[in-house]
Amino acid sequence: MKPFLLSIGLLATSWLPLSAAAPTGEQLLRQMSARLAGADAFRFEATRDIDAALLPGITLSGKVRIAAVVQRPGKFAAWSESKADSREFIADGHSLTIFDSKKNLYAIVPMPATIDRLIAELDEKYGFTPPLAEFAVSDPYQEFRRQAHTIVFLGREKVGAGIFHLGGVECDHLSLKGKTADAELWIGVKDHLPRKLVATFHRAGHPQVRVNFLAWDLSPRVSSADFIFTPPKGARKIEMWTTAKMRAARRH
Amino acid sequence: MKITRLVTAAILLAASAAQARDYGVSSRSAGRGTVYSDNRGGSAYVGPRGVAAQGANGRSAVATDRGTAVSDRYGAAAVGDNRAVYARGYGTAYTGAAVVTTGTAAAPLPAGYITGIPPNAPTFIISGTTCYFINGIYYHAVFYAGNTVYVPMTF
Repeated sequence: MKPFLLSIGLLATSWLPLSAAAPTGEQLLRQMSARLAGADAFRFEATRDIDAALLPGITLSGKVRIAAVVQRPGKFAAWSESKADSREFIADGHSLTIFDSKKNLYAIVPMPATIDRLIAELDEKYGFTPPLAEFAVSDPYQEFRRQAHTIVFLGREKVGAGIFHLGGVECDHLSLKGKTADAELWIGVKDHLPRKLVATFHRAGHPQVRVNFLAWDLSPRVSSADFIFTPPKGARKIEMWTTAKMRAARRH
Repeated sequence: MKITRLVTAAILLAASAAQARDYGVSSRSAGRGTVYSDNRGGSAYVGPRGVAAQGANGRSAVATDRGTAVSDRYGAAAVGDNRAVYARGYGTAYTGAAVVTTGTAAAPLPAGYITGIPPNAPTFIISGTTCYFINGIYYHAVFYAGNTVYVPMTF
């Protein structure tokens, strides 16, 4: 076969299966959600890079490395570390502990028993959620759908590929359009796990949040020790303020 | 509100020299602009890119096409194209100035609270709580929106 015809043939064979499958963004997002929701426990590692415009006065800034372990229905632990700061978030099904290891400070507050309710209560009462918690809820699809009115499948491409396009993970590339931000999500073709997320906010300068998932383990060894916090020597317990308390203090 | 008045004064001083004389001030050229002053010690500079004013009491305001800033004995505030900054007590040298941007995803930190403590700040225990004494204000640490911040003690 002539090289030209061979090229055409290769192009056609690489295109045909995708065309035949014709996945929609909805289907791919549901597939990813089902994969995560179906795992009783999982671990992941990621890097999260947030543009400064999205971090007003917040100390845990810039590029952060995150490791998290989830045990359904109610246990969640995440560690995030940047050059300047590090935090631990540990939910054991009864309480949430936050530990600032650089300053050796921690706080413990009672929390609901499920991850979904924990995240909702944190968001509502304390004005934040643990890093990448949206991937740990029981139905990530609903979480994404709540924020995106349009989901479109853009095609297939490799994430994490090196020079000459070698290595990396073949991914389905999705576009999600939302009211406050648009996002692009790359989901592994073989394992249906999220590999990369880039959210661009609709505001001056178009600041972004960029997440790269480095590793997933859906059959991890998880022990109760993963969700137990033992204060290090000299650690001081401090209060965790609600947004209502901070708002009241602001008026003084 | 005093801050509003200062901004208004700065805008007034952006008017023409003739108008300025109507307000009882004298003027002289300075650099690419004009300095206006009155006999009570107040002065204002009007330049091609904005205006700045300082009262006899040391309070000042500046307005440019990029934003507005004011200061008084309680602190300083600035409003730019897309964000506002407020610092209380000791200027903006510390990381403690709370920054508020519009439409922020995270809960904004309130004005006047700080996110860092200078390493040499004196430390005290008050009612069992560790406090840091900075420029006349006692601060203590709390977690807020997942971060460590330092809030003034209330007695």
